[in-house]
Amino acid sequence: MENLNETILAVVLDVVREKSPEIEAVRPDQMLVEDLGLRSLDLARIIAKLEMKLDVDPFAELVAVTSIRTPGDLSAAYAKCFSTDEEPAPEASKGTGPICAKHPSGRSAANRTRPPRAGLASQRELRQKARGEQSQ
Amino acid sequence: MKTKEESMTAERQVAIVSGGSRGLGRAIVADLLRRDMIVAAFSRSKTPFIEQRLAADPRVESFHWASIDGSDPQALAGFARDVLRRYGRIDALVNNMATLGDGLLTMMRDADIHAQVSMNLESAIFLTRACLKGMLPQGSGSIVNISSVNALRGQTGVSVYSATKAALIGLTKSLAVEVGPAGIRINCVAPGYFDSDMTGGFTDDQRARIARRTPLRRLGTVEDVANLVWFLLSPEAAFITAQVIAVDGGFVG
Repeated sequence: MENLNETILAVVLDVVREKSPEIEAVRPDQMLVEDLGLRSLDLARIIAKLEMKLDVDPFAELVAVTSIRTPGDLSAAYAKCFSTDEEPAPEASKGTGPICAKHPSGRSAANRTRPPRAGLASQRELRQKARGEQSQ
Repeated sequence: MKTKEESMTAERQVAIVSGGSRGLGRAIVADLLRRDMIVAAFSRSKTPFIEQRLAADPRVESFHWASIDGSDPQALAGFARDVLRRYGRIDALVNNMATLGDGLLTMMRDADIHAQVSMNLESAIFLTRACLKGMLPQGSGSIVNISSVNALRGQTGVSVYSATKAALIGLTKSLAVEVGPAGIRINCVAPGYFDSDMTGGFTDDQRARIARRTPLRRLGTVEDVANLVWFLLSPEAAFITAQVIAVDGGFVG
């Protein structure tokens, strides 16, 4: 698990340093938007990089990407993919894919009990865009 | 100073072409291979062209092909991942795969409508998403969606086909805004009437009528379209994104 957290922090730092080279380290509790200056496309890049490294995509079905606000949230999301203490997923891996083997229907306990928070991806951005389009 | 896209030319670029076994897709595959790109293509079944290309490259160094059901999102994502694992990158995507259900809308079977929406539009969306997973970490990439002049002007008998091809233009324009900041370009090519399997059913009279209404006085060729696809994928088009370019000889309808 430590390696997973380190991998995630390293990838986040890579992307953060493209914009803010002066930043030398990121902490799991820092806010991706407010503290680290990332935008939704940066998060998409982080997730794509992690999918290439880890070969899993927890956001395909398991976790709402809007719930991700910190590197710690990312770690928790990816930890779900590698967790072994839940029921096996029926036919989860009929493809070769990196879709998390867990909860292929997306009905994880976390998703049931925790509604998506307004996260990086921008429910706010999307709402603003929608308002903009309607006013045209 | 070289741009990121120009500096990539030192490394062989990798392109995915959907539906690369026949017609325009075949011409695009052949053209990109001729220009020393690594090409990964898929289609439902092998054609003599695919067999010939595979035989010419038994170590799969330049040409990779798989039999894929283009309407299966998981299969499309798996194909893109295989290409990434095999070659380490995806630089270009050509969403070419399409099916044409010809007929008046009121006479069209449900299955034919679904097949066109699935094959021409949904598959392009899913494959694009899968390929972006490779392009985003690279910070570069170029996507070309093959639309149609029927997306730009009306034509009887192809309403569903036209709807799917017009939707690709919407996909192009919004996605270009979305991924442009990550160095990824996306454009649309809108071919007019050109010699292919899809126009093989035209009579000589129909072909002559099309040529008369075309200022350049002929039907197009698949090479006319493939040349533009290459240009848009290449560094020569490094500042072109969100565009729709017709290759129709100036067809006036």
